[in-house]
Amino acid sequence: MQLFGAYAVLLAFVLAVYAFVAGVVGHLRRRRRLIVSAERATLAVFPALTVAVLCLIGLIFRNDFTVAYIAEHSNRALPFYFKIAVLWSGQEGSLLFWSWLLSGYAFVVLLGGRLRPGRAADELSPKHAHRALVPLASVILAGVEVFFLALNNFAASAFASLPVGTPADGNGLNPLLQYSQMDIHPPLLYLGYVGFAVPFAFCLAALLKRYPGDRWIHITRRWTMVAWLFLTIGIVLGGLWAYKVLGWGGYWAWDPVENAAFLPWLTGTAFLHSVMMQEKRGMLKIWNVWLVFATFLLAIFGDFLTRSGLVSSVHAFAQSSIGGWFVIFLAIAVAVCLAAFFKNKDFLKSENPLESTASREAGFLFNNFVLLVAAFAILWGTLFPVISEWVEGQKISVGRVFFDRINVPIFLFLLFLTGVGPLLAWRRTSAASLKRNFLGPAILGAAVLALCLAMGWRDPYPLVCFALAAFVLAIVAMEFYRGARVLSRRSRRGLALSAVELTMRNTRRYGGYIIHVGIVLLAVGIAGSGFNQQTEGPMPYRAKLAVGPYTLTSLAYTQDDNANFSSEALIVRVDQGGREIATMYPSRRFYKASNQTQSMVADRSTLLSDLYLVYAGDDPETNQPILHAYWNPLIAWIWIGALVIGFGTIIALLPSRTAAARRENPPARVAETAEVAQV
Amino acid sequence: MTLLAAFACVFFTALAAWFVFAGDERLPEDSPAAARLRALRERKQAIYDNLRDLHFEFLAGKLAQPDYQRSRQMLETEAARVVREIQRCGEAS
Repeated sequence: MQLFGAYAVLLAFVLAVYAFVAGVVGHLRRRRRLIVSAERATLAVFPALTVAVLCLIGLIFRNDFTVAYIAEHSNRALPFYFKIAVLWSGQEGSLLFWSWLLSGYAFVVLLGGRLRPGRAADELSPKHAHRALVPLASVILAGVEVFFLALNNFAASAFASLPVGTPADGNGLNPLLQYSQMDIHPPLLYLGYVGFAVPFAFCLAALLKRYPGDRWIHITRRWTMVAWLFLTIGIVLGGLWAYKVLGWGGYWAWDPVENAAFLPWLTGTAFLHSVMMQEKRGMLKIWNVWLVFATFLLAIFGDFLTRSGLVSSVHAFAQSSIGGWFVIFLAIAVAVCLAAFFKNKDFLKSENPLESTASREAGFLFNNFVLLVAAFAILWGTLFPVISEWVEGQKISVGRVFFDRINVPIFLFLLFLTGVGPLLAWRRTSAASLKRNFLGPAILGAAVLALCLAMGWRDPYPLVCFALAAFVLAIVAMEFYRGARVLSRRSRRGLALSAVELTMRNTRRYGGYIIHVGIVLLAVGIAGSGFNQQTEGPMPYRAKLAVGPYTLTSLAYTQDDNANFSSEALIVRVDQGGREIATMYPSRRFYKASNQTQSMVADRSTLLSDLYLVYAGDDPETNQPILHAYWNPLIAWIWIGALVIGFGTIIALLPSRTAAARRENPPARVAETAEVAQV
Repeated sequence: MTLLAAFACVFFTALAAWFVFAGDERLPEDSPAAARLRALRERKQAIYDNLRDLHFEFLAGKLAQPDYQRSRQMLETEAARVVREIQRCGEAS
């Protein structure tokens, strides 16, 4: 199985190299058979890598410790539901997993682009543009595959044998990874990172082909949304993992690897907004192309940061020599992007100018500018230790204070724009329209601000955040209400049904509003951290500790043991207002295979606040157990917000009913043509 | 076991080669004129969509009457220009 797995990775590499070379030659010399065979070779990479991945999983479950990767990252006592996580827990396996996902995307793209025999797609449908661009896009995807498969074969093979002997047991999975979130978080995050290769491939293909019209940008947008959805959920799940596992009471530490995932998210978000200007008004074409390029390059850069050991992080893989490969690939990718851009710059001419600063176009421009400022600040802060080491010879890290000070005002402004954007009209908005749309939400925001002040809250950032949250929610509610009212009048249905109909008629717009609601909930959850409380103390039998509205009482101490780990736990009674409400079990585990100790957080989560307990071991002087207790208000809204964002994105990805009806009803188009021609 | 693995490797290599080289498919090819016509039709459809959205926003009460009239006029002018161009391209081809 080991030999066959290694063979399958090599076969995938040969197929990808053929797909790339034959595709390039085929397109340069216009040889149809070469192009078709290149496409089919790209398709075949996926089954080959699926075989390889299945072989590795089989070897993991068979506890085959002759394979160095498995000996390093697994052990016999590891529960089966964590054995699957071994696949992506180390450098070599996760690179194979990355290549497999990339080939899976390419497979879906290629299958999606195939026309049924004997049927041509409607020339105005995205399918036509998709089919026209797929041959070149698949060559670009094959080029990316060649890089990752070269790593899989020649730099970090997951099937390499141990140099000598076979150990009786493996070193075990890193205890930090032995959590349920680790079965979901990395795959989703990788689906996000890897997914940005698809819009990049379509965008570059359209640029190289000088594909006329704007359909290619629709395809690029849809694939960006898919990757963005996965990356968003992946990032939030990473935060949930950090919160539940790392035991410091928080979920985001501006760690370099966290930032690496956040950078393509920011540029991808900027693109998903600015693309509307190209679709609606034929503007910002150069900007959009570079946002797609930047998003892909930042995704690769993020992978480089995580894998090269350039920066130190709890999320990073061990230091390795593959950084050089990434630098070369990034340099080639940047050179290709620049060459394609300068050769075809005239293809990206804007069709319309910006007419007014009080317009939706200007709102999107501001939004893009602010998102890119945030991305630059985060990139700067992340690379500062590396830059300072080059310049000064000394590593200087910027901490959480730097990132918070720069980014909190930026993100509050973004929250404001989230509300403002949808209410501005395209081209120009008059003072009368502004007043009509903004007055109600602005009054509500001001009322929430006054209420917070009356409650004695003085921290400015949470105050502004809550006021803006009310402002944005009011605007979104107003958008749904106004639209549903129009449909309700026409169809005589209730408002709720009309709101559903409204959403399905324009999934993109109303899905977008649902995403905005998710962003608001997430912001409220983050703002709650302004009210966090924490305390720590020794907890011998019957000792008490107070945090937030809770009183904690130590009841007992217990121990347990199994094949994978031994554990010790504190039993803590939780009282609120003199009434017992829960018993919690913060514990510590000692993992036998890896000889590592890990705190297991006990978390009691409600919609209003979390009580978060960490058993920090025994005080070496007094031998008494030490408990860290955190009271974190509103944190559950972060996870709820992420779910709402996911739901909104899925809605936005669905085809709108009106668009589908239009495509199926060409006579209406003809009638419209005649009508407008008379204008 | 090794012999079986070697046999499987040969079999899958042959299968992959057959899959890559056995297929044939027509690829969509547009003449420059047809591509231009298609791009114009896409633009026309986008303008119509914009007109529909604008009208809906007006009905929903988001736009003041003068804003609506001005935007509608601009879009109709743009649509008429695109439609004329489509007709020219259609006649030329």
